[in-house]
Amino acid sequence: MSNAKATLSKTLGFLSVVRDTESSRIGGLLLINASSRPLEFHCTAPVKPNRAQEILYGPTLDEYLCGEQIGHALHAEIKVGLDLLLTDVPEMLVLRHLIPQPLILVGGESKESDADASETLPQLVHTQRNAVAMATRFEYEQDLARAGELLDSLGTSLDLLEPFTRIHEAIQEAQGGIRKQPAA
Amino acid sequence: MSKDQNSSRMHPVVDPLKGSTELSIDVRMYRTGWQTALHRLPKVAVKSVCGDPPPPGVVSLDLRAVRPALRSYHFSQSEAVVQPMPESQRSSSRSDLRGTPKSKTRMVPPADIVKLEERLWYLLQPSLEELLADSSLSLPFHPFPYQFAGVAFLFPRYAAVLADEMGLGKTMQAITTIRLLLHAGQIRRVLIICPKPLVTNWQREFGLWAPEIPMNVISGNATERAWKWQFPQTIVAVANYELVQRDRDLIGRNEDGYDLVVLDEAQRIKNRYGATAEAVRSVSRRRSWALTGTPVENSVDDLVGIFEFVAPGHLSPGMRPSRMARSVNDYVLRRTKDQVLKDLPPKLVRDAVIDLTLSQRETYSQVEEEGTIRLSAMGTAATVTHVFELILRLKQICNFDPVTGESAKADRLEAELEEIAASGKKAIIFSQYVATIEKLALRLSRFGPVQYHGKIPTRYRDEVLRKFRQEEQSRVILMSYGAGSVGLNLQNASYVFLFDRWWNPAVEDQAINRAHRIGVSGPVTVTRFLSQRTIEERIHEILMEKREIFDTIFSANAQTPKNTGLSQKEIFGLFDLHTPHGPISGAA
Repeated sequence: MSNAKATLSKTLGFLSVVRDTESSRIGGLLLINASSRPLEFHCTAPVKPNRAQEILYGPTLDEYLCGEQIGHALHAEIKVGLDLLLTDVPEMLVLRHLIPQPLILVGGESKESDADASETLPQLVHTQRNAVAMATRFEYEQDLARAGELLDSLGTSLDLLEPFTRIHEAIQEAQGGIRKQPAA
Repeated sequence: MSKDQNSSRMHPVVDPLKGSTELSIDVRMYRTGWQTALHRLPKVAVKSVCGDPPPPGVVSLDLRAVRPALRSYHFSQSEAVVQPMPESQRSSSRSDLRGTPKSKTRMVPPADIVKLEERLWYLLQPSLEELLADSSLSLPFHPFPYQFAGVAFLFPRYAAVLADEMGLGKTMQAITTIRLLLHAGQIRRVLIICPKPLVTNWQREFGLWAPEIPMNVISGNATERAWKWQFPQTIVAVANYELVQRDRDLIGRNEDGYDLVVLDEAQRIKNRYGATAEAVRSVSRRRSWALTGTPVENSVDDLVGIFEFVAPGHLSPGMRPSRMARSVNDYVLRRTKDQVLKDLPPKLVRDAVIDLTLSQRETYSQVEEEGTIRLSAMGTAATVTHVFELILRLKQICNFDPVTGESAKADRLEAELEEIAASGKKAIIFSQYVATIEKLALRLSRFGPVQYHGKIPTRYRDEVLRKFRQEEQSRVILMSYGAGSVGLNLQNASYVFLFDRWWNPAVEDQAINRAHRIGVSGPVTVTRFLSQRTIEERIHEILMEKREIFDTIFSANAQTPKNTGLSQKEIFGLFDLHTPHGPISGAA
């Protein structure tokens, strides 16, 4: 396989969660190729914790819902190969324990919650790539290096934040579309 | 023991406080029946009682993970029929969008795409700036943001009218969208239909904006054309309207049809019963786009004709303009220079009111009086054609006196051109009549005029344009509205003169915009000649009213216009014609 073809065959995943209502969340996973074109899109139905989960999971509820429930379920649906997974949700990093691929939290420079969420989450390891802040759990520090190498090999100015906008719009569209569809 | 026996042995009651008393109780035994019972073993019933407390009640809370319901969408990567632009063509002169996209122009699927998977495919595409940052898609110039918006509008649409004002780059927007669709494998065969003089324009623009895409210009004799229509490797074919009409059967033999048919200057099919419109509509296609700066020329029904191609049945004749505006909202994109090109040099429009020369006035009055009398005498037998004949004669007199050859307009024009030529500028002069253009060419010979109208063979026209663009001594180009008002780029002219007036303002705008368009370096001055106290003044008033039609459909505050076109009544009204039975109402 030529270098160009090898580069084009790389697949990046973008994983995000939006709040549907106060307590329910919808997850979305977008897989793109090196040209930023969509390959797969998966989204969940709204996930709402029950009262017992809210009480017993306490402050770890978000990690449980985002990482273990939503993230894991979405990851299991991937049909093409995955080289790198990026998320804009700090609580999603717990998913890394369950998957073999590197998982990186990305955020804008000025966005205090995302990659700078070290105060509320287990200690994170940070780095900066262009104008994008990147972080991962300290147990997986090597993921940052792996992600850097992969992104360097793509050789493009791929915007690492823009795909999350697409996910949010697609979730909105999918939810609207599903609601419009008549019951089977 | 009896009651008496017991009482006889009872001792007196002793008060215990007064001392002790000897107790002597006489006990005697009597046989009864129950002593044997004393020898029987007692019956013992054992009842066990547990001393431990009962176990507590247990409530189980189910914390098991329930897998969320999921929806998945897989997008296949269609193979593109075009190859990426070769490295050799990616010259440094082409605009490099890599690393520079500050704005993000995203595609939004139109309302008529209902399949969710298809809507998501468009929504999940990267921004256009990101797509075009790919070096294999580099552009010669960095597009304006509104042009990105135009591409984002066209890309997901199967039915679209790009109705930008002339000079905003509709051609470039269409070519860039076609290019992106071809590279995405969404389309494979494209047919562009345009007026004959614009075929070379499309060739030139494709070479500039999409050099890697081969074009096939449909031309030649019947055999050659038959071969070209059927040539299977054709990706983009360009044909003029007349050829599409002539080769209708040949095109119909193409079983697969076209993925996209683009009509340039789509107002050509405004008459939906015309042979051209029918031929164009018969072309088998999946996507239909119309490009026009003047979707409404004469009446709102013009738009119905265009929509019969774009989205058949969507509009119907006689619809109220306000309702039509709502119906076309998702199909039409219309921007004006005022809206999007804040930095474009200004366009200064002035009306030069001219007084006819004495001989012109004499001739004019005589012809008008005779004509009006003749039309009045015809009564209800007078037709629009008769009125038009009179208008034509009067307008020609306003240009040049047929008797003396005098022309107040030409005198004024000459004076203005002296100044323009002296300042090193160039001018475009439009007229409705070739005869007028030829007379002007003689009068203005010292300005090196070139002519561009219906009498100039097509094969010479590019050379005419080249001379005007490149040769310094060629200060003036004389054009007819019919031949020169559409599609041409003449940004090197700073002055535009409308020597006489066309019947609708849209065509005049097109003419003006040959010079006032992207690439113009300074302000453009437009002079509209208007002969005082003549038919031209009356036509001018009607033209102003006709502008309202356009504004009604393509502005946000749609209201029903007072006037929807130059009706027969208005044509007759130009001469205030009356019969003995009342005004001639144009019943003919």
